[in-house]
Amino acid sequence: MPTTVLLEGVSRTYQVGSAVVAALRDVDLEIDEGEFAVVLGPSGSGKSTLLNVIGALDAATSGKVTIAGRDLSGSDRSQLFRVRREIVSFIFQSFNLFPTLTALENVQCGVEITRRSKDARARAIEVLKQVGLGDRLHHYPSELSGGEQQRVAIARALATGNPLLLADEPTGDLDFQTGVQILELLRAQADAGRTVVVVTHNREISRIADRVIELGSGRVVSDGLPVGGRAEISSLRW
Amino acid sequence: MRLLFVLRWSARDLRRRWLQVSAIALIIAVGTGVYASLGSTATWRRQSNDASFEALNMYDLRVRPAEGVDAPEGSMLAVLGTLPDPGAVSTAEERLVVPTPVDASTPTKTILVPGRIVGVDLASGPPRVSQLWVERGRGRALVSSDQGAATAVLERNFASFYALSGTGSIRVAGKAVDYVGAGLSPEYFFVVTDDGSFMAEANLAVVFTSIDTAQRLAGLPGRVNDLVLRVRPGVDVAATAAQVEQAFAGSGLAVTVMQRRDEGAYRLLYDDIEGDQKFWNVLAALILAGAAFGAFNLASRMVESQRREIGIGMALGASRPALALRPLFVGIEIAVLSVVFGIAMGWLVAAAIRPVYTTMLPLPVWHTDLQFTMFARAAALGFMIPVVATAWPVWRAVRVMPVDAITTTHRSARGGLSPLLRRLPWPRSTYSRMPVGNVLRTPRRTLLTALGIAAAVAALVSVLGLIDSFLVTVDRNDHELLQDHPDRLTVGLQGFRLANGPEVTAIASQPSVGAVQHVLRFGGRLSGGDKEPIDVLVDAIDLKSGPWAPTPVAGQLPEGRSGLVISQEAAADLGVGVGSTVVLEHLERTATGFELVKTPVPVAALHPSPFRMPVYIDQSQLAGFGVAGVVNQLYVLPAAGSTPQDVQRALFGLPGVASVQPIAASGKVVRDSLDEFVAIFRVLELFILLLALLIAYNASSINSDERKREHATLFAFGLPVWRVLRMDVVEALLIGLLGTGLGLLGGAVVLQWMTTALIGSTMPELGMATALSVETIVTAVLLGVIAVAAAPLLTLRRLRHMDIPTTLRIVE
Repeated sequence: MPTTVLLEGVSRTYQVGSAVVAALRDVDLEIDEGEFAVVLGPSGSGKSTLLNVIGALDAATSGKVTIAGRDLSGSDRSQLFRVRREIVSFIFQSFNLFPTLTALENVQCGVEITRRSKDARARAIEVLKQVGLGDRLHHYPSELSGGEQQRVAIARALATGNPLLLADEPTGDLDFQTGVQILELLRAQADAGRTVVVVTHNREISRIADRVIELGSGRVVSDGLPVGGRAEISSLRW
Repeated sequence: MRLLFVLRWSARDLRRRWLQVSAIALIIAVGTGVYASLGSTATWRRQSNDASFEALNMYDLRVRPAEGVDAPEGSMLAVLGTLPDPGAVSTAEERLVVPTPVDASTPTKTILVPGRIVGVDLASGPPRVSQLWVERGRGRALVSSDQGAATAVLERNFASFYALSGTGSIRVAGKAVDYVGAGLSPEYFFVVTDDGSFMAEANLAVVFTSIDTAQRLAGLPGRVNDLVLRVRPGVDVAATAAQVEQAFAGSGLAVTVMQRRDEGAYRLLYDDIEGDQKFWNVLAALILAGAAFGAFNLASRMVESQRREIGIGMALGASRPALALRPLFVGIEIAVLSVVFGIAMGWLVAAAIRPVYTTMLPLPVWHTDLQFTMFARAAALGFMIPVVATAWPVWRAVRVMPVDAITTTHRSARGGLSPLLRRLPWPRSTYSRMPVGNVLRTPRRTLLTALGIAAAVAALVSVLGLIDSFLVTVDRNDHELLQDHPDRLTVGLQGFRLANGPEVTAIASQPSVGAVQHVLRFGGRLSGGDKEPIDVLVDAIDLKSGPWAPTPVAGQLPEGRSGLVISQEAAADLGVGVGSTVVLEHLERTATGFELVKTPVPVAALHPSPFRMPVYIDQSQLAGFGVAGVVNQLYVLPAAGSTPQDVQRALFGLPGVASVQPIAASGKVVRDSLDEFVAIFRVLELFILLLALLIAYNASSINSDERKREHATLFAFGLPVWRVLRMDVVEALLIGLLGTGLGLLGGAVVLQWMTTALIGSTMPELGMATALSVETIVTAVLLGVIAVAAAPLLTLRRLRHMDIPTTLRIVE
């Protein structure tokens, strides 16, 4: 299985006033294509920083970051932009949909940015139907429920066709039922061959992952299968 | 919440937004500063006029015989002795005032202009009425020892126009005269010619000399034709004028008794203040409106950004007044800053305008102190605008339900005119549509920003449009006067001459002179219709075969028959048209002199001159006025191979010639004068540009804050900075276009009002065209569209250094 994410000795430190805060310390990590990986950890453990480094939103202070075969070390701004455009797609906890665009246009926008599909509109409609929003195409974000908004955000990420999906607390703002629907969608993407990395503090979600990476104080403290093996989504409770 | 706590919190708001707060304060300051300084100019000018006319002891009454009539020296003073109350007059002096050509050429420049000798009595020292003032460094005034000497003082406006030094040599009536200074006199503070042309310093050289010298130069020994006098303090000037008029009527000398307001310079200098002030008020109001719209919009957006915090406060049970205090304090902080900046800005604008005024109107005394009343009024406005601008959105914000205030979704996403976006076929890409969506989503906010820009553009358009309109009016006048003979000259004669007399024959026989057209020009008053009578200058010429005749735009020229050709402006002001009969009041020669008569004449045609004074009749009608065969002007065309300058040189100094002036010179004078006036507008243009840029920058800066999550999301999806910036530029461009469109429209309306209502009341003799040049429109577009669209570029650094992960995780 080809490797999508490869981190070798990656550290990320921040200067806060006169103090230096290490968000990631010497992290080695390898995530393969089609894997559904969940990154767990308490607040301040470095999981969001890890996601940002993988997603080319942030640069490592030291170490080597390789995404889909591209070495990001020493990349300039435009190269990082290109990685985000061609490899990575984000799903955010607070959706970050464009308020002036309809559901269809939000998804279409994602496709157009990648310039991957000639008919961005048709592609957007197709993906929105996949996530069950075929009847909400022309609704603005303010006219959708939280779950629907997150599904639009997922559709926007999926429609780009990028091989790596990064989700930051994707169910954080949602109720249980809606959260389950979102996880089903993400799981299906991994099953279809995309690499999915989900950052969460919700341990229950990690049960459906192929792999659980646990962080503590910026280090990988554990990395392996979920405790008790991969569970079905229907068995989740929180 | 305790007041101190709220104050501290508000101070933190101020610290976080100091740049936007300062920019809003500066926007208001530009408005109030321009308002305060422009509002001060009326007081400056009124006080300076009063002081200057008083300092040089301008006459209260001036007695002038009819043109070409003079009297023995001492005879006019003697008439004053017959007044019922001779003690009413405190000082009186006779003068001799005669037109003459003046050659003030320098080694590098030929200056041959119409002039005027003003002979004053120096027997007992410098003149006491309508004195001369020579500024230090510009030579000296006339003294007793100049009596009878070939020395003079040159009128300063003329000397300045041609950059002549304080002392030098000129030729007056063909004779050399040394001028010992360049001085100002009340009748020439603002140079107005007898035919009503103003700002005419390029075209009128006034030479002040002793009465003996003037008599010698004019060939009128022992003669005078002017009497100026001051009345004792407390004496009724109008009553004394009536007495003087009566006394002269009894003396057999037909005279006109003038009061100060009858003097063109005096009247225009005061009347001009009111007209200018109305114009400045409109301009200041526009700039202030721009500032108010800008401030209101930006303050609203600042309060809007605190919406959620206000909602949380509500949820915590804080009272509405307590919640309102914090944003209101920000408004008050802006207000205080606006007042401070406004005073500084007012001082700055005043400092920039002051030298323009003192150069354009070089009075001996200028009072240009800061006008505390105006500044206090502007400061009050500067305080009120941000407080009201903040209070309104705060009032709206604290009235919503807490749940609406706290909501994290975009309340206005569906609002406004967003649905219109779906109907737009272009642009097709969704992120290119986002700027359009942002503009349509919040129409009120868009409109407020656009109105701020529109007000600035309207101010600019009205200022530049006024210059355009002046120039088009001058062009129209030039076109009519020049026609097919741009080299035509007007030769002014000294008094009335016989058309076949030696002086006219000598002129016509000069080798450089081609065609000659006889002109009898006389003043009159025209009445008709139901409107006020108007003063006119009648030129009696050969309408059929002369080298020049007015262009009839309605009716037909009355060749060889009775009828007047009046200007369209005069016809409009009198409420008459072709075929109407008007009454011409004019002097008619009788056996004993002249008398005022009223002659009904039909209007035969209208000519296109923008001035209402010029009226033409056919020469054949002069017999009816008792002045057949008499001329006082000539229209002259240079002979083939000769230039107007050749004609000027040939005729200069010939007997009977008072002036030789190319007809094109009048248009040039107005253009040159406009250039000085334009300097004020250039100063204002800078402040208007500053205002528009501040509004645009602040709007962009707040936009950038509001859209930072959208920007971060686009960055997360890999859209480069320049494309995100392009979206912001497009949004600003759309607002700029809207603002500029509204501004052009508003500016055109204001301009129309100024050229008709305002100019119509302050300069009724001028029929001003309304015109906007391509340059003005391009300047407005550059300011309103390009400058506004470019403002987001100032946020480039902020976009490039955005902390994308942090911004994305912000929960609104």
